[in-house]
Amino acid sequence: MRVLWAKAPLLLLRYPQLFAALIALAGLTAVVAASAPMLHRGIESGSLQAQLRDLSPLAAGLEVRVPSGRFESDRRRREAAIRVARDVDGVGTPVVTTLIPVTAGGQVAPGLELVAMARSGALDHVQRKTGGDPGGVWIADSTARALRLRPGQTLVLTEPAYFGHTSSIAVRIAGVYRALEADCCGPFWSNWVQDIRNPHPDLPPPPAFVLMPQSTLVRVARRLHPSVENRFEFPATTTLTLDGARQLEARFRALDREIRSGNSPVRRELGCAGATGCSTNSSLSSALALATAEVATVSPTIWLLAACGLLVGLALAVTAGVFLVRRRSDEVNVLFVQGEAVAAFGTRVALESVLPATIGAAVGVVASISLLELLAPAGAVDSRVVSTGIAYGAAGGFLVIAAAAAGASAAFPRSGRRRGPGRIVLRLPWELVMIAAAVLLLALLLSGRGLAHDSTGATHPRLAVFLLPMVAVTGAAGLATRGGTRLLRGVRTASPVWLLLALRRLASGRAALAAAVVGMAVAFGMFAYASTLSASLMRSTTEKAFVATGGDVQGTVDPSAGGTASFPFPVALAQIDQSNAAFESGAPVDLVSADPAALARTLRWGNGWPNDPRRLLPRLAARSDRLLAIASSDAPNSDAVVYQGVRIPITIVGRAAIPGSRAGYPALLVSSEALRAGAARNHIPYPAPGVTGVVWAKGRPAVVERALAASTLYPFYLTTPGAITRSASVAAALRSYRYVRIVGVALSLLTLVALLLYLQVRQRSQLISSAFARRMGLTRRSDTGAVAFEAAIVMLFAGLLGGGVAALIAQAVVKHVDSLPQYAPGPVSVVPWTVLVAGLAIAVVAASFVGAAAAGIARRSDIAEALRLG
Amino acid sequence: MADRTGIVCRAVSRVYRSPSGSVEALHALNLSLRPGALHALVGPSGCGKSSLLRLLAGLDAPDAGSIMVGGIDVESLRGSEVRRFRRETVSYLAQRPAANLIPHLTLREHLEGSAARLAVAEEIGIAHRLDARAGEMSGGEQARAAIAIGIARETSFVLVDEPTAELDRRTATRVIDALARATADGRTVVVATHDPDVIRVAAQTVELATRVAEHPRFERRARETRAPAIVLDRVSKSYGPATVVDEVSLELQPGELGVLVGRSGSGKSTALMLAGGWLSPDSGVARVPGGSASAPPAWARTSYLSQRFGLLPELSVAENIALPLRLTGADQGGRVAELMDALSLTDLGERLPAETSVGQQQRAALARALVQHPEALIADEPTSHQDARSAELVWSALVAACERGTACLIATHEERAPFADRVWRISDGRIQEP
Repeated sequence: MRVLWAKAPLLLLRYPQLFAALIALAGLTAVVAASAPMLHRGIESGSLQAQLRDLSPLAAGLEVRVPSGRFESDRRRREAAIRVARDVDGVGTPVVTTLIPVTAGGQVAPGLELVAMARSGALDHVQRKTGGDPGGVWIADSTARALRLRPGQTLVLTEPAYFGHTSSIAVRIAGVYRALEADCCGPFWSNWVQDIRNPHPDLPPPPAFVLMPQSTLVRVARRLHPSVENRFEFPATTTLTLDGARQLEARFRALDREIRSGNSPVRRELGCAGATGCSTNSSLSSALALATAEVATVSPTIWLLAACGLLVGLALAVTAGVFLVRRRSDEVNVLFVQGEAVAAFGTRVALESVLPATIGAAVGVVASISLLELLAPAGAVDSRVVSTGIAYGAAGGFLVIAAAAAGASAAFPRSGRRRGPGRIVLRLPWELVMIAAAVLLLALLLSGRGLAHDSTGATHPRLAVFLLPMVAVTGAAGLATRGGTRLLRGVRTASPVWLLLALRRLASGRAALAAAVVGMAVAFGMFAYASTLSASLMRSTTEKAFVATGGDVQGTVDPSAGGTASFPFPVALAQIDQSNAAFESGAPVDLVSADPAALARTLRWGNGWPNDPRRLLPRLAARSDRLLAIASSDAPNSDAVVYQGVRIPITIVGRAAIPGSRAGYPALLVSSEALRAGAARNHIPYPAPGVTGVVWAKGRPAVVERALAASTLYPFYLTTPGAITRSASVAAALRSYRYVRIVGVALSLLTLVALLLYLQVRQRSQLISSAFARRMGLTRRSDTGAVAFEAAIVMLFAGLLGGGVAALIAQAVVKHVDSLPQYAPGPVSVVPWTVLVAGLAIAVVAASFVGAAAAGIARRSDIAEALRLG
Repeated sequence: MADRTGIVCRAVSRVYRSPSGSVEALHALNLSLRPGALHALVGPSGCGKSSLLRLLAGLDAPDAGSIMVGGIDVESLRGSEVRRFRRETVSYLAQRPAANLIPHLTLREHLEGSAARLAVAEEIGIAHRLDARAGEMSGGEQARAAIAIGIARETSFVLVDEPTAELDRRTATRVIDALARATADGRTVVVATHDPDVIRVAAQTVELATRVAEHPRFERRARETRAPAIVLDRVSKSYGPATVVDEVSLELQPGELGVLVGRSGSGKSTALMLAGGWLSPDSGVARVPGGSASAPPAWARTSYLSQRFGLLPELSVAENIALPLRLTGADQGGRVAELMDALSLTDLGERLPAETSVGQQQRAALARALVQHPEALIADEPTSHQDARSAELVWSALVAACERGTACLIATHEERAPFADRVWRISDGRIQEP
């Protein structure tokens, strides 16, 4: 009928519930569809910004070195650098530095090499110890100690020895700062590490800086040295998006070309036109490469999860199409009787769905952009992100239209004319296909082909890993529904009546009930799956971080260092030997030695974590002729180790996680005193050559770090567990799991809406029956209670099934997924029972409210009208 | 449009399978219907009339046998062929009038506006409702609209299920005439019916198997006059500008059987709904046992049988009948079995309502209405889906209820009401003077 086509675009306005349902579905599907690329972009930008922060904006920016320039034109060059920065988008105010090599004069330490430095903002990025005038000359405490100088005294500077000490200049010392060698290396000094600390620990440190204003430095240069060195650092802004960073990198390359060749104004103004030329340096490419590699590792996860979310959303859209047919059964029957083709009906449903899907998709895109702005780092949302979101959101809306049309087409009546083998195939439970697919996916996963490995060795799940719970939950939920309804059909009677009604309705539920159970099971399964992966990752990461850092702070120290008594917090010194020990079989073993008592005070271990080493530490202090050792779980049973070529008998007193150990390497923890004694008995050096000394401390990291840094242990490379737990790969994985949880919650809401529709349609179809039953004595409370109970049972059943299967699979998957493979111990699986039980309880209560609402809404219908119309 | 081969069925069987068992609707049926004539399919409810029509229309497939319609082997049709067959060869009209109408289209839109088609509406007496949608029509109007649409489609075969079940005699006659006239064009019309008037004009009547037990008739006894159980006192009801019930007054004493006779759209269903407390009158007073101005009557005192039976689809027939007793905690005793036997439902007790015919569902709904021995029963067209023998069972059950003291107010379009103590004729919402 032509009139049906003409009316189709606005027809669903006559069915407000269907209209609203399609808007909601299109909205949520658009959120899922648009969020994936947008989240991807957000993670790209977030990862880049993390890299920029890790490298520091100055290192990631452009550094221009002008090795030699006349001091008279120093100011001009510095001003030129500031002008260049203004012309480059994505860089902040440049840090300009002028320096010249000098030598200390005087009698105390003549010939001490120093570097006179005028660097913008330098005094703000050192630890000032004594003194006051920031506009004066500041020397390092190591220089002050060496020259026995203090603020107010005069420092005599001469030309370096190789210039022949022809002139000198005295400058008044305004203050003393903590030497950068011991205070290295904050982001401000990230391009100067080679100038601050000698890469070889046995060599003396490079000359310390004498910080002074530019005018003072020019005065010094005028007296001592006609040419100065400039370094201009153009910091990259930390809010760069990946696209912005790529553009900036290109700009840096162009700038480099201008500076190195030709006769460009920049080259001239920066002083690069001379014989020595200039050099440039930037770590932006590295930051980009690291960020891209990191995103590549989580990219499959995001896309796959989005695909899964999309599949579930579309499955619900298909269900909406089925509801559309049920809700309009009279119309559909008329069309069927009059010989309408399924394709024509489906096409018209698609046309009917265009309006709500468009509205929903628009709302969804706006919601995803808002979500991204909320969750992603600042600056992640740019015009390209928005246009990508719109494109994907539109595609999501289109898919909802197609899915609704497909669902409606599938539910369109058939005349049941099929005979022969095809009929038998159709009678086979569809769940068997899903179960078979789940078995295949499981086999794929167990064979190791379900995981991808990135360049760092970290494993990331592939399609199989994420499809497995979906497919398994779908099949299991379908089969369980089939079995459950069959069991309920056997219930002959039940009391009270509301219970009988609820059980009979559940027993008579067919495709719609199965769809509701499957939808809810999959939605809750996604939530449970992501929650389990997330909880496991957080636990594994924390455990790895504390095992790696031994406590709250770790620093590298001289292995022979001693003296920890003065610290107001627990401190343990340990030696980690990764090269001198092996089992008798020849298999290498890491030997970690420390004072067991100090270690027991220092180690931090979470409640309930397995393999707690602290409970075994007292055993190491026992008297024995043999070396008592705690072994890591992957260490073989052995009664001796070969240490520095000498066989030392050992007794393994227990197995636990060994602090300071590495993933993939067995480790032994022994008492340092016992090892020292053993070494002495066997005439081998202690500590052994090549051993690494570490200090582990327990306490508030900021306080501990400050105290350790100021101590005579002179620790370097101070680090905390936070540096590991906040690593970009962990953050990216957690972010993607959080995203899945949000999708799971959104889908749960969606399935509740679908349940509401289903129950409402069902209750509307029983409007007269229910009205009659109420006249017969069925109370309103019983009427509502029956539907609420039914909905709650459906949700509970689906939640237990979906959550159980998903959590089970997640536990198996966790062991194969490791975001920090370089750290020991291996990943652990943790099921967040509290979260899951609370989530299920909330879902069950919500479902019962939905059931009650469906009954209530249906009761508001005009029964007289229904009776009149027949 | 004209067909020269008619309909031939050979050894057609159809079995419906469900979780509660199998129901054989048709067993090795042989049938030959000549073309260009009106044929009546008769038989008790549940004998397979509706199933046969669906098979003939290509909506369902037989489990065995062959069906030729207009020379087409219906069973051999596949995909687009069967759709073309349904689109161009047969028109099928379902038993429930509303099921033949697309709710959001007006009758004019259904007929797609051509003059010839609109003339059919005129012929059947529904032309005044051309711009109404299904929801805006009465049950009788819906039935006429459906017939008009079926005839207007100009297919060679018109298959109609109980077309006059909900029509008054005058309207039914117009419909029957229209169906008979359709055969003049060479069309073949097959009507599943209990209506003797249809049977009378049919060129051929096919009686499907009957399995109804004989039941004794109840004789009416003389009653003493008591206070009325059902009272409608100058009751009026309007829908917008249309007054559907206009100052209707009637009284029915306990044990009396009163019949409200009127054609489709005359206001009788609305009057019953006012009496049953489903609608509030705009003016006047409606009083039934257990009812008050603020609360509708309890089922135990005033039960109701509507044209939509309101059986709970998840409960079996027996459970549906016993539901009022169960909800009030009353002892079921042998009352359920007694009524099922009286209404020939004994074999259907374990079936779900959807597994029974419409007529059987109607009898089950009547049994449920009578199971608590109510003081009053209000029933709208209780025999509309019954064949003659089953209708007799229904009337017997109603008479038996009256004998026990129930006041039964029945709406029907049947002119004959042999058991009635009182008869009111209603037209345009007003009770006609005798």
